[in-house]
Parts: sequence; C-alpha cells; structure tokens
Amino acid sequence: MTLSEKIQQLKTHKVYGRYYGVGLLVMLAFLFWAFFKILTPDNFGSWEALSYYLQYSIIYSVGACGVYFIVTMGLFDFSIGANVVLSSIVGVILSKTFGYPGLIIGCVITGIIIGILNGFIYVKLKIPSMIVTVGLMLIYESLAYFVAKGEKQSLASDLRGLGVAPGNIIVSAIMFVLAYLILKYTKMGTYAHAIGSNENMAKNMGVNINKYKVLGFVTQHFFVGVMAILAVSYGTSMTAVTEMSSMARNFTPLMGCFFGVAFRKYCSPIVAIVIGEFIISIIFNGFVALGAPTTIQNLITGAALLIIVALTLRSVKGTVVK
Amino acid sequence: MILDAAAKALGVELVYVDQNHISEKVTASMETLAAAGCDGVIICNSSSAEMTSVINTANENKIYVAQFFRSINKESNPNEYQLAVSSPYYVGTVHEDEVDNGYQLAQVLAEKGYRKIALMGWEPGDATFLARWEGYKKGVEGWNKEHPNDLVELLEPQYGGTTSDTGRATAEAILSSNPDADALIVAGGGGDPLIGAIQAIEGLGKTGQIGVASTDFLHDLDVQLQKGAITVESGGHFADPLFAFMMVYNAVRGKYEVPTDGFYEIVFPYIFVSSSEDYANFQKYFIDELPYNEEEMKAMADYSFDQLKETAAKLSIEEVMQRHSEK
Repeated sequence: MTLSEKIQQLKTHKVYGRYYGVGLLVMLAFLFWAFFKILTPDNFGSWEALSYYLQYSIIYSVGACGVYFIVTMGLFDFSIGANVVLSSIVGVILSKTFGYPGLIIGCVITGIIIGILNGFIYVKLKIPSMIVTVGLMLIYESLAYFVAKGEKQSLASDLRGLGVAPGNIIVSAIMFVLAYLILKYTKMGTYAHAIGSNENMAKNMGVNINKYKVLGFVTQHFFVGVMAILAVSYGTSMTAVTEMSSMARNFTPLMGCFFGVAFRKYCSPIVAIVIGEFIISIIFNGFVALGAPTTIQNLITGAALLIIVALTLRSVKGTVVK
Repeated sequence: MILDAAAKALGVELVYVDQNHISEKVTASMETLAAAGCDGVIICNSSSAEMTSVINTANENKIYVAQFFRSINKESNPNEYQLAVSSPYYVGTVHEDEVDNGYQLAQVLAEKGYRKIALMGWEPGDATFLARWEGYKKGVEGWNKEHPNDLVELLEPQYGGTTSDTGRATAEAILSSNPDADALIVAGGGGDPLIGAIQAIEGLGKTGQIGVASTDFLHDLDVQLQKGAITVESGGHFADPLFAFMMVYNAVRGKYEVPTDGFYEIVFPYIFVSSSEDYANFQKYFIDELPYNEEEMKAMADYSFDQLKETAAKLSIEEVMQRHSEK
C-alpha cells in the first residue's frame, strides 16, 4: 500500500477519520513549535510564551469565524478592518460613559449595523461584493475619523479586562461555540455552504439567496465587532485611519479563515481556524525569537500558508479550480 | 494650532490639504494649491522623490515652497537635491536631526543603567526609522567606546506596525524571546505601537523594570512617567512647521531672497522628557499656551534667516519657561 493510499485509508477510517483534520493541524502546530524550539531553545515556546501566542491569535480567530460565513458563500469583504476600527472607536467612546456595557454594546451594535449595510447594499446594487465592500470600507474609515474627531481613542485602564486572560479566553470560547452552533445547527450555516457550492442549485431548491447573504454579512460583522472588543482591549487604543489603511487588518482573519475552508472536509472549520491562527502566531513569534527580519517573516508565513492549503486541498486531476 | 496662531497674527490666509503620505496625492495636492492661487506652500512630503514634481510645480507657478519635518537626502536623492538647490522657489527645509534623536535616547538609556536594549520599529525601510536606528547604534557605540568594561547591547529591530495590538504582540514576542532584555526602544509609528508595548510590559509584570524610550509624546505621558512605564521620550517638535511657514512668508514678502545655488535649512531640536516634572512644564509652556505668543510671532516674522535659525535651535522647555516667566 502506497503512502497516499494509507493516508486515504486514515481519512476514511471509521474512528480515526473524524480526528484526521484536527490531528493534522495539531501535528502542524507541533512541528512549527518544534522547529523553532530546536533553533532557539532558550527564548521560544515556553508554556508561558505559548499562552501569549494563543491570547494574541484568538483575537483574529474570532474575526475569522465570522469571515468564514462570507468566504464560504464565495463572497469577499474588504471592510473587516474598517469595522474593527469604527466599532472599537464607538465602543471606546461609549465605554467612557457606560463602562463595559458601553464597550461591548458599542462594538457589537456597530458591527451588526455595518453587516446590515454591507448585506443590503450588496444585494440591492447587485455588484460584486469586493467592489461594494471596498467602497464601504472607505466610508467606514471616514466615519471612524469623524466619530473619533481625528483623535486617538484610548480605553480606560479599568476597562481592559477583555484584553487579558481569562476575560479574552472566555469571550473567545463563547464565540467559538456560537460559531460552531450556527454552522452546525442553523439554516444559516447549512445554506452558507449550499450557496457557496452552487448558488443556482440552492436557489432552485427554494433557498432565499439574498436573505442568507445579508444574514451572512450580519453574522460576519457581528463576529468582527466582538473581535474589535478583543483587539481594542488588548492594544488599549485605536486610531482612525483613512485611505484604505484599515486593509492591513483584513488579512490575519482571512488567513485563519483559509485554514477553515481548507480543512472543513476533515474537521470543524472553527477548530481549523483556531488552530490555524495559533500556527500563524507560532510562526510570527518563532521568527521574532530568531531575530529574522519582518520581510523574511512575511515571505515564510505566506509560503507556509500556501503549502499547507495546497497540500490539504490536493485536487483530483481534471478538477476545475476557480 | 500653532500655524493658525501665526496666520492670525500675521494676517495670512491658510489652506490645508491632507495628502495622507501618498505620493500621487502629494503631487496632486501641490497642483491643487497652485491652482487655488496660493502664494506659498509648506509641505510634509512622504518621500524625497515626490519633491521633483513639487518643485517643478512651484517653479512653473512661481510659488514658494518649503518642507517641514522632512529634507531631501543629498546622497540618496541627488537629482531632487540638485533641483532644490537650483530652484528659485524652493525656499528650504525645517527638519529634525533623527540620527541625533536616536543617539540621545540610546545615551539616556545607557546612562540610566540599561544594558540590553531591544528595538521595535514600525515599518522596514522607513527613512525616519532608519535614521533613528542609525542614531541608536551610534549612541550605543559611543557608550561602549567610553565604557569598554560596561558594554550595552542593542538588538536587531523587529517591526510592530502602526497599531497598538500589533505593537503589543510584537513587544510581547520580543521580550519573551529576550527575557534578559532590560530596555525597549519603540522607535515611533504615531504612538499606538508604544501604547501596545506599554501594555505588553505591564502584562508581563515588568513595568518599571524594563526601560522604555520612544519618540512622539503620548497624551498621558505624565501618567506613564509617574508609573515608570516610560523612561525617556522625545517629541514636542510641533513648532517645526511654524519655522517653515516663516521662511515661506518671508520669501513671499521678498525679505528672504531664495538662492539658486542653495537653500535655507533649519535643524529643529527635539524636546526630551524623562520625568513627570519635565512633562508638567511641557504641558504648561507648550500645550496650555503655545511656545510663542502673538507678539513673539510678529517679531519672528521680521527676523533675518540667521536669527530665525538661532531661535529654532534654542527652543527647549527651559528656554520657553525663561522667556515666558520674564514677561
């Protein structure tokens, strides 16, 4: 039996098959950890350090869980970063009067409103999601600037509990469970996959495509709103940016989301997102421990992501890849 | 604010254009201002290469132009430099000595007893960061030369972007990778990376143990200094554009003749703050009231260039305290 056949047998095994994806991801995380630990044993990968890597990665994992709903429908959204900036600024401003409720409600409600706007404008204008969200990103960035009055917004020191353990871990865990439940047990989760697989077929089967696309945007931006809570609590300040500068915040959740898409055949995409973001965090910290320049870090991180996803998604010969 | 005060004092109409440090916008902004009929422009460009189109537009439209916070590097941009030298409308530049800024910060850390200094930049290749980095290295080399038995080590830079969350994550990564580092220089990046780094140090329970040096004052710098979260910070150079404004104002009035074999240059000093008392004075003499009042600005407008240059060079907290407490 060849190695390829053995792997195939493992994937379809009654008992082990269900753990194949998780096992592979955990193994990848371990391999990256071991790689850097061997190269720089004294200053990388202790338990305490791993806890910091995890706490940083879960901020993006929460956002990535939301992004998954849109990406799996075959859509793209470039206003994720703008949502983080605008929601954080609204949350911080409200927190000055209402404390934690202001922060949480401000971020979440702003996120939901952005989701509704994105969804409705995309559905009504009938133009590609990429174009709609780029336009809206510019609007949200400008709004954030006006709301913040051009000033840096800092979170009060007594309201930073959701940026450190256990606050950040509890919030993230709740969001992961929620994302899992939505994907597994709601029409939204089922139809998101159906729309992504074949939109026309889903439409012919009676799925209200537009409704679920709007819901997809709302769900995504709800999660991104929560990501904004975690991000501003972790970093403790937020500055409004313009000229598409918020785009830089799109990519880390998007990378985690790609792990979810790549591994969804083998395990829950939510688990894949969480471990995937953790792997990205390990690679980032590993390179810092090695003292490698940022350009090299980005190069290796990008290449590692491509290799992991390519190996996982090895297509059957003749398959059309869009 | 300081420009508005100067414009009000001298009866000048000011128009602001935000170019977001995007090259094509810098070029377009200059053309927009020329079309709007401005007599002079002061500009904070994003790269020296943009100055070719800026100076050409100034020449074509007979508008005087001066740079603030920026200068053209003779070695790396010889063509732009030559164009500036020969232009009858390029008045000159007011800029900070970033190498000296870096040097001073590294020296302060060394003098305060920090021996292993980590470095966090914001963007690889950024010209301002590279100049500051050169200064940090010079500061450490200078210290090591004078103290061969008490050496300071400066680590290679890592880059924390321009947001507080990426700044915090990078600072955490740097400090957990280098547990024996006793100081961190956050080179800049607009303040957010520094806020993140302070949180990272607090999260590690090392506030007051890790020396922190940075550039660009935080709004709560006094609190951070009191907590020991910041050891030394340079900044407060917001009066730099005032001197560029005065240069252009006098060129427009015909008082400063713009040479075609050179240009005017003012190296503007940073303000260094390392105690809450320093900051209280900075707050009082630079924020609550401007470092130059209306009469002083009116008088400044009649200075010769050498007097203007001298005025810029001596600006410090102590100098303003002395000048304003005398009145």
